[in-house]
Amino acid sequence: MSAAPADGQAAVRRSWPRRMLERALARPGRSSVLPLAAVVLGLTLAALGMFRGAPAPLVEVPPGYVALVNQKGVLESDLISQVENATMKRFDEATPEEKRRVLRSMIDEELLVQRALLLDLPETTIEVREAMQQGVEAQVAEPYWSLPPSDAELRAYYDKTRSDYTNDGTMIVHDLVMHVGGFQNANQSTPQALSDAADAVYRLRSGASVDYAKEHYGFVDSNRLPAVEELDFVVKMRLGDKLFEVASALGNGEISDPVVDVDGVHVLVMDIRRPASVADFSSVRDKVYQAYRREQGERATAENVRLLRSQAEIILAPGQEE
Amino acid sequence: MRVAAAALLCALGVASPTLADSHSVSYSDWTISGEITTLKFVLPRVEAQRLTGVDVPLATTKRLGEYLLAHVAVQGDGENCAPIDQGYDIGLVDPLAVGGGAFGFEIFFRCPTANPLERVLKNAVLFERVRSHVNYARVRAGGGDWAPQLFTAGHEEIRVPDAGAPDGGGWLRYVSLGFGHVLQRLDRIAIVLGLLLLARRRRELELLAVGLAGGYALALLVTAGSWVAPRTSFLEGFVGFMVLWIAAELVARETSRSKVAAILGLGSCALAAVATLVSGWAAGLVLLGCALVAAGLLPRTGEWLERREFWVATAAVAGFLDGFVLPSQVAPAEPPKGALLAMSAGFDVGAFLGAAFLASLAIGALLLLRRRRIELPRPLVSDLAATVLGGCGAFWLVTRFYG
Repeated sequence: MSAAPADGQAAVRRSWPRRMLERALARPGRSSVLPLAAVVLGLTLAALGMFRGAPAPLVEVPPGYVALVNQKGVLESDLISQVENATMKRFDEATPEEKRRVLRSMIDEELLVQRALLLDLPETTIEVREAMQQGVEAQVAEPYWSLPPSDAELRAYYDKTRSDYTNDGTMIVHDLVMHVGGFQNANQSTPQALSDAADAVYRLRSGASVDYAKEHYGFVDSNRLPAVEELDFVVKMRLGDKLFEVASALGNGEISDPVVDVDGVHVLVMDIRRPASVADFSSVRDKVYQAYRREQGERATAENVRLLRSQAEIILAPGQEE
Repeated sequence: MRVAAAALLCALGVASPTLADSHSVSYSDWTISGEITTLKFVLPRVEAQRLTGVDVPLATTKRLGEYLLAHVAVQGDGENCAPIDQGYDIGLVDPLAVGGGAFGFEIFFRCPTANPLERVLKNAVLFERVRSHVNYARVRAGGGDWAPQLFTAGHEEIRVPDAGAPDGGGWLRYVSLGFGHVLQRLDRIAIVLGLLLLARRRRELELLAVGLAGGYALALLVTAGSWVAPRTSFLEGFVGFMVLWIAAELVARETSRSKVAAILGLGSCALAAVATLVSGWAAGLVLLGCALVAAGLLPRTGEWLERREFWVATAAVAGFLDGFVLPSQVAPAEPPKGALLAMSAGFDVGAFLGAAFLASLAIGALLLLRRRRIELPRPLVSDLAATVLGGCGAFWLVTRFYG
């Protein structure tokens, strides 16, 4: 008696998905539904993998661009800056003709760049490769360059590289020579000449004049130097290393010991000597700044190359070294 | 036993280049301006390797340039137009950077006269090695529009009149191309003959024809819409799966449907997992789809063979996939949509006729045998066909998803 109402109640309480499932299972053709669904789903998945959305060609210039050249965009910001550079006016003030001319030249440039890429110029042309190398170097250095160095940093760099900022010294020096072994001094031997020269040096140091030494000891001007103030490197070039080493050690008014050279015995008389000096920071600040930036760039390039090498696979031919 | 034989054949197939894809294409642009004709030639990497036998880009480029120069020419009013030395260290053939795993070259030909009455463009690249090779060409004369053209074996010249661009490649030539495509591709032959093996009545053959035509028409519609672009190797991989499914169906008839379905379904699932890692998610998705199709189709095919929807749908899938062969081959040449549709329609008609011709040959052979009262042992034919189709299908499936 009580079972029937309970069953009826249970039937009423069943949810609709369960009722749908029971109905589907009770159908005679139920065994085809799932396989068919699997086939349809399978074909759909396969189609999703086999096809992709077709890339739509750009037929309208997208916002932010002013032209499309073979589907490659020319940026509006580039046009603005190039118009301003070319006309030395603000973009708004440039005439339509000027803007047209600049845009035309930009499109021409883009066509030539595309042609260059097609011809593989980056791989085949030295000038293009150099320009690309410089471009990459500038790009990696830019983060450093964008932060201007402080005076303290520049001064520290200056202290570290002080030797790069020396001013060349100058001198006015007389080079007296006593020739040995020539037809005019055939009897004069080098020891004799040295002895005479030592005597002359003694006289000169005692206050005798150069002319006196010439007159009494047979010294003559070597004619290697004019009697004017010359930079150290010029003197070195003219006197030669041996005599310059002696000359650079002399102070104002000092007289050297006799020095034997290929053409005889020399005595150097220093009239005026201004030795080389290090320039002070304020006078070479610009040079220090340039050198500082250059070094930053070189450091950035070196780091970049190190990174690229660590990521690259480089295989050398047998027998090759780098 | 049959499964083992199929696996053995599959292993042999992997080592056999005869089963590899045989379609061979290249592309050329011919720009005519005054006395100068500029040729831009693009060879896919696989063709370059076929020609040079080496895989080193530098050596390949040099050898290809020399080969190309010896196999292309331009004549103006019967006189040869000499290739121009392009200076520096380039020489007569300038290699181009065309990307996409291809080799590009540019040659300038200068004709003795500025405006010859007729110019002949000659291209014999690859035809002596691969008879089925097709060069999809474009010709532009005097700043006009590009005119799509074809170079095929036996049609290695294009005549360009002084008046402007030559006539289009000719619709019938695309029909011929489609016809040859079915007869020269082992996988297409396998599909056609495999479906013939499944069919037992004339009505089923008619339904297959209707489905095939419908599939081609649907592909043409999708091509016209330009909504999607095919991933060609996966599409061809699915063709391999269809061959494998036909083999599985032949085996399942004689053995256990559920076991064969489980093997093919689980095998496809395993391939999908590996393909996802090796070739990307799209490959995994296609193979997962293959697994579902196998699991859903094989246990029920016995009943569904009686339904005409089955025959129409099966052939429609084959036709639909085959309908994307020409659009994907010709895509690098970027033909205008109208020209592409005309070319595809011609190609598809040719492919349909090719399939019909192949089916007719097979049926004719069977009728001939029957007339002579020669009865083929059907179980043996079925086993042999299942083995061959299984091996080939597995080979195509694997190589196209992992190749």
